[in-house]
Amino acid sequence: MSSSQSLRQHALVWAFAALLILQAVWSTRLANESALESSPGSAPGIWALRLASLDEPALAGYATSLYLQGFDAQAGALLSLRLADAAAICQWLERAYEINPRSGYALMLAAFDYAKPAHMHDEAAKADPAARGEPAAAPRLLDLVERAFLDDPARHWRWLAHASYVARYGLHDDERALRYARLLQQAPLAAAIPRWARELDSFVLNRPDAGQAQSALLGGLAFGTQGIEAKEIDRLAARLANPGASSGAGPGSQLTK
Amino acid sequence: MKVASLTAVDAASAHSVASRSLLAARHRALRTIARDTIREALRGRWFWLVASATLLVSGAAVFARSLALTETHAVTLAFAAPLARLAGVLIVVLTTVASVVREKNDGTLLLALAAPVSRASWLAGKALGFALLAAATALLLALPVLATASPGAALAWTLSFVLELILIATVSLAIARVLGQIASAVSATIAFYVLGRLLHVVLLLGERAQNYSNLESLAPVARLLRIVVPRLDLFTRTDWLLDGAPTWASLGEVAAQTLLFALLALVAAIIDLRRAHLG
Repeated sequence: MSSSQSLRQHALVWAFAALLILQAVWSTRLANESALESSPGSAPGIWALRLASLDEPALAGYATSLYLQGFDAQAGALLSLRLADAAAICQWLERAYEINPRSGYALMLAAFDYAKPAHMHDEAAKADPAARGEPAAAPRLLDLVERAFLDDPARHWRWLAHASYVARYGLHDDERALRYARLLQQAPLAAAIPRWARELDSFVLNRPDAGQAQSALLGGLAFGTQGIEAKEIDRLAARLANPGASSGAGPGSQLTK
Repeated sequence: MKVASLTAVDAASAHSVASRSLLAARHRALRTIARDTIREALRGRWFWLVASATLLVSGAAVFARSLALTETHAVTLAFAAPLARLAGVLIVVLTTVASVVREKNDGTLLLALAAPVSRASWLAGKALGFALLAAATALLLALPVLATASPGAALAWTLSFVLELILIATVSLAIARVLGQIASAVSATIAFYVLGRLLHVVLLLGERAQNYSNLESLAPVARLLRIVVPRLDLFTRTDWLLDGAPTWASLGEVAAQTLLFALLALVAAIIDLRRAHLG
């Protein structure tokens, strides 16, 4: 290679290095400027999800749930449901369930993670004149769990049990809590619902306080349920050990930005 | 009389020997062309492409599994299976189309047909080679699924995946043969695949929309598509892995559809090649 060609080669390498550094600086600048999204936006329609996923309902359902689950943890900060769009969250969870009704993932998020923060959001909205008139999010989430249970009791009884606890001790809606307990009690034997869940009213709902009720419920879910995964048991056990705070491993956290 | 009958018998047996020799020669030619097709793909880094795709699919599935708070097994399969399927189709389409178009453009096809092998035999040999490559692609990409799902369901899913990629390989060969350009052939094959996967959803949407929109004029087109395009949505279903293996009847339908449409595509390619002016 002649000296001029060699110089040209060196100049090109330096130019490449300079542009790479410029790209890195540009990307860092854009990341610092990004603001937290306060709403996950409207959920896509069922048909749009089916077409986008090439008619793979399991993939579409889980991807939708994981998107919503990750929405809370943006840029390392945990977003309070009070800042988020509760109606959109309900819509996303309903969509995730509708496209993949065999899975209980969306129901877990609804009953275990979002129902209580949604109730706090509803209470705050009552005091806010601008937000009055918004439909309550917590009952909508629990209705989703109830509908899913009625469609397939064998798959979704766990989340109805949790929904019953949330209705009693979170929403203070005893009528709803007892209705769910009755549904569990009257479910067909083929649903293979464990005894503690069929006797939910005495096992959980009639506990003297919310803490004992939660211990009974989470203990039943973690250790009295066949086929439960180790990761889920760890999560339930962490919630048992520290019932007031967020488990830190899931959405619907009470921490603000 | 006796000499005449002996001569007739000798002629018949000579004819039979000649036929068997011709058949053996054709089989040898088929195997040689198929082997060369596979060698060309290996030279083109096919193995590393499939291995990389398998790693990516596994990585995506493991990532999704790590995010999941429950149903981790189902989440792994729900991500691994469709992504493996998509990756397999893309690799088979790109490999097949690139090979066919390159052979056409750099004159290798003319050289190959100068040998004493018919155009139909040459195409059949290429189809065999691409089919074997497609099967190997499916088996490698199915590894994450085979490692995760229950054995019966995983084997059924993998078998269907192999058949699906063989069908796509033959269709890619035919389309590349007809269109002769990489970009248009790849686009057309991908469009065919997406249509095969989604036609039933689109038709359902169309039926529902007929109550409030004027789509009656499209009904004949829809009917034609329904009878011509294979039902790829019935192939390699993820719910076999989540809910239990399919019946033998379902797998039999998949195999029958693959055989039928692959033969259809191959015959179309042969018709195109026989009428093409290659000078």
